[in-house]
Amino acid sequence: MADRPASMKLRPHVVAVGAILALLLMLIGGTAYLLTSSYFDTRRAVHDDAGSSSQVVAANAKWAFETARQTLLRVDDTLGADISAPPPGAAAQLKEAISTLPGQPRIYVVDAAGATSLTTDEQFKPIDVRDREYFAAVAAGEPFHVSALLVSRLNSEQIFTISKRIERNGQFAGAAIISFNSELLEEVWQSLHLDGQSTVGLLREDGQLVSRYPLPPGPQDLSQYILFTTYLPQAPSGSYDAVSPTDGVHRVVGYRRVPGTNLIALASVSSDNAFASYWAATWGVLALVIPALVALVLIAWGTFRLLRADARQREAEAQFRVFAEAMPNHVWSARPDGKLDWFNSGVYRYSGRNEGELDGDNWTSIIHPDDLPEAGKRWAAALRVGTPYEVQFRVRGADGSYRWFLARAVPLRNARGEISKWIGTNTDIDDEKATLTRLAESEARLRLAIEAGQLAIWELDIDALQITPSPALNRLYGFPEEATPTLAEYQSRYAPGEAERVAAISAAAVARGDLDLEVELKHVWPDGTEKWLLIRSQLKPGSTVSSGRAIGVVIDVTERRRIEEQLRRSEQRFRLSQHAAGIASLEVDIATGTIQGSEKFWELWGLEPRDKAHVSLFESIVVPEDKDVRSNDETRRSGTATPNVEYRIRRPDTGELRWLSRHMEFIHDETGKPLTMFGVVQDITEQKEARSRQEMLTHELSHRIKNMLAMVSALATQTLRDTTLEAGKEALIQRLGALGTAHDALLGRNWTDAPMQAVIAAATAHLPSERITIGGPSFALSPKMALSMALAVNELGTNALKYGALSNETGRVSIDWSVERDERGERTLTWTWRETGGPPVAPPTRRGFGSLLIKRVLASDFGGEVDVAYAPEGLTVTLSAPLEPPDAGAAP
Amino acid sequence: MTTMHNTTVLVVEDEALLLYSIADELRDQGFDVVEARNAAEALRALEANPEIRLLFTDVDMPGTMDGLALAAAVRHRWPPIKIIVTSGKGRPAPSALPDGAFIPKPYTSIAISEVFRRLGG
Repeated sequence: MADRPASMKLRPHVVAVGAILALLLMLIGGTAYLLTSSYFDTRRAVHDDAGSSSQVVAANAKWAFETARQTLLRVDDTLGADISAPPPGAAAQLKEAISTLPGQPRIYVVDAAGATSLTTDEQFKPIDVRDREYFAAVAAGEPFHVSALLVSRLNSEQIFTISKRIERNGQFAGAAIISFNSELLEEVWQSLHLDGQSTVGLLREDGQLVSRYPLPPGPQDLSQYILFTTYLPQAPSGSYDAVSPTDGVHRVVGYRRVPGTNLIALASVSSDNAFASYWAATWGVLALVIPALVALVLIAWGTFRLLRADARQREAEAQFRVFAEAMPNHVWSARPDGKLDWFNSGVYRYSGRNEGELDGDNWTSIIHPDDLPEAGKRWAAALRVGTPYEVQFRVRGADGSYRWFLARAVPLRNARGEISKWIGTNTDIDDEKATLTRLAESEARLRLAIEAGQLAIWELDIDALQITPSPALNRLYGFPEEATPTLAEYQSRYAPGEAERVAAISAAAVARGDLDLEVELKHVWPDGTEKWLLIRSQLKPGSTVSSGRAIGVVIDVTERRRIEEQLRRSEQRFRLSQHAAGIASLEVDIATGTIQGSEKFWELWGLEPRDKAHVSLFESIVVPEDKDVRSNDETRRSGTATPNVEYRIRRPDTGELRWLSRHMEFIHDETGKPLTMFGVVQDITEQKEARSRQEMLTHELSHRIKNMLAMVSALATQTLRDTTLEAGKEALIQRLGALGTAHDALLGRNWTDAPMQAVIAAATAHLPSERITIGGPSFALSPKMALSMALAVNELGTNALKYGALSNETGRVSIDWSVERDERGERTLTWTWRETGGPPVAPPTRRGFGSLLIKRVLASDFGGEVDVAYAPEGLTVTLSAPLEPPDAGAAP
Repeated sequence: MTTMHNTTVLVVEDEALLLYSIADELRDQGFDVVEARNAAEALRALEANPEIRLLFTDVDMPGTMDGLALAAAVRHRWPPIKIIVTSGKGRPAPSALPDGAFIPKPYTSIAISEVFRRLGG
């Protein structure tokens, strides 16, 4: 067997597990990608939210600031020259103007002395605000001022103010102040639909908190906050992640400078809330994915184990089948339910059934019906208990005869101890069975003989050499029962050489100190019958080989020896028959191209016997024209080599051209790749030659028959040309008869030639022979010459009978021929038909077919000339022909 | 028979009986017949008789040139001559029959004149 290829093969279980692992990685990767992108989406959404919220805050702030400014300008206008004495109704008028503004705005006018001259605040209690920043700032010269967060001293509300410097006559006259409470941002906050953790706010550029919703605990200085230290210097608007320094909540902060003011709008969106749904979704996904991953891993492991076990089993089965094919026994396998599912080719060969015809329970169809019940019972019992199965039954062969087989099967168990398969063998025990039957019969006969007291027993007096036989002994040896033959008379029946052999055996026994002796001796009876007798003897106590007494028994073992001999011969015959049939076997290892063959194999190829040889050795022996017929490396490796081929070889030892016929089969490995080629080779040269001889003969015969038919047809046409069938019948029959006689003469010589003498004698057989003389040297006629000679002689004979020398009582005919050399040394045949003593002759008046046959056909077929002379004493026909025709159709 | 009148046919057959027999029959049908027993004689006859219009030849003949070789030579040297081949050995390959005309042995003169007519003679 070839080594397995070194390259690792992709087994199904590796592929399957690889595929599952790839799926696993895809799932993990996909999930990770999904979660990551979702995370960033969430984050971006929060940032966008914060950014857009800050924009809304900024827009509102800007709007509020602008409104406040316009309002304050209007207040300034309303006040008149003396702000301490505003016109009556001004307060109500202003209140009306701002009533639609958010943030519950209230207006205060404080003169330079600190007195509040006008207010829209109904709960106003007079207080001095000159120390307040919002007053001090405008007093110091700022046209407008936005305050930081203030806690109202009146009602503890969180408010902020926008104040305007009022000048009269170029002098600071006081401040107009508008306050907003936190409702301003609350509305914005609500319109943005933010959650409780998110805030909106306004900051002043110096870091002071102006307003915030939800409400802060109080005023705050945020100038050291990261917004002012990092982000604001970088960009006027943006967003960033932050952990609130006040409440520790994670937020995304969107900020934006409010154009035209010194305010910064803030929107802090709690990312915790936004990410809470992200995390909820993430955990939801993971809750699905993680079990799926675990399940996949488990499935991969399970699949791997299953497929690996499957691959191993298939490998084992393929291996098993190769072994099973190599076994001489019949091998089969069955499923655990007892249905047979596979047989080796030995079973099909023996039974003559086709593959598949015995599957399931169909195998019972080739079991002898008498043996089937027992076989079925035991098979069922073995299946039920799982113990080995053993039974003997007769199996029908392809020729319809039954032979005894011993069937055995054992269960194969898997790792869990369950039966996965039954493997069975059927061994041909027909010969043993027959032998055993006969041995048993022979033993039975022996027992019977002993029981009947018919034992052939003897007692020997060694000193006197006197033997005392039992009647059965004498019967066995063919003496009268009561006779007392001498020892020598018994021994005279020993076959030549047996006396010396028994002497040697007993001498050896004595040397060993044995008292017992048992030997099988061949005897020859006077009539030539051969018998094998087992002689067992024992010295009586106190006796020695040279003195005392011995007793013994003789048993006829001829039958047993005959059976043993038969067995030995039949084996030998088998070996000899294979050898004699000229069949040689060979085995080709496809991977290495090494051929191993039987002894006969090397002999057929004309090579010295050897263990093995490379296939290239044979390529030079096959004749070049047949090279492509044989298998080559490629067709062997692909398994496409033609199974049955015939080719010619030039034997290296004798130089003979021989025809070989080769039949072979492939053995494949479990992947279907051919491993080995088994074949038989036979020398079929003789069969080939016989076949081609036969073909040649058949062809030649067909040709001759057709040519002959053409001649018969020509004869018939010519004969009946100028006459009726009735009138021409006799002439036609005679002419055909002449053709027939020439044939007989030719057939006697294998259609090579015919003696002139024989042809003429046959063609004149119907003429009175005593008036005809035939004479000349031995001369062989070719088939063509023989036929035209027979026809011509027939014509001449018929003519002589009717009109010539044989038409009266006295005429004679002589037919002579001779071969002579002329002056140039060329040989010429001269043949003469001469009639004498007949009535006077005259040339015929019309030329008939007879004369055509004589003058033209005869001349032409002999390549010579014919002269017909009508002399008064009789007709003379002379044919003279050169024996080596100079021109037989040579091309010019 | 009028169509055969004055048509000259060359019969080539080495078996004398067959040669004379078929020659006589063809004459009876109105042909003028020239006889030859082998290819060499046939070629000599063709050179001497320019009026030959039909060659009827056996395949199997002694000598270096058989009927098929003769047929090929005639087709080469005298293209207008129609050629009918006969044999007892079975039909030759179509490529060996110049006019595709073959009559197996045994044959009749009627068969020959019919084939000749079919060839347009």
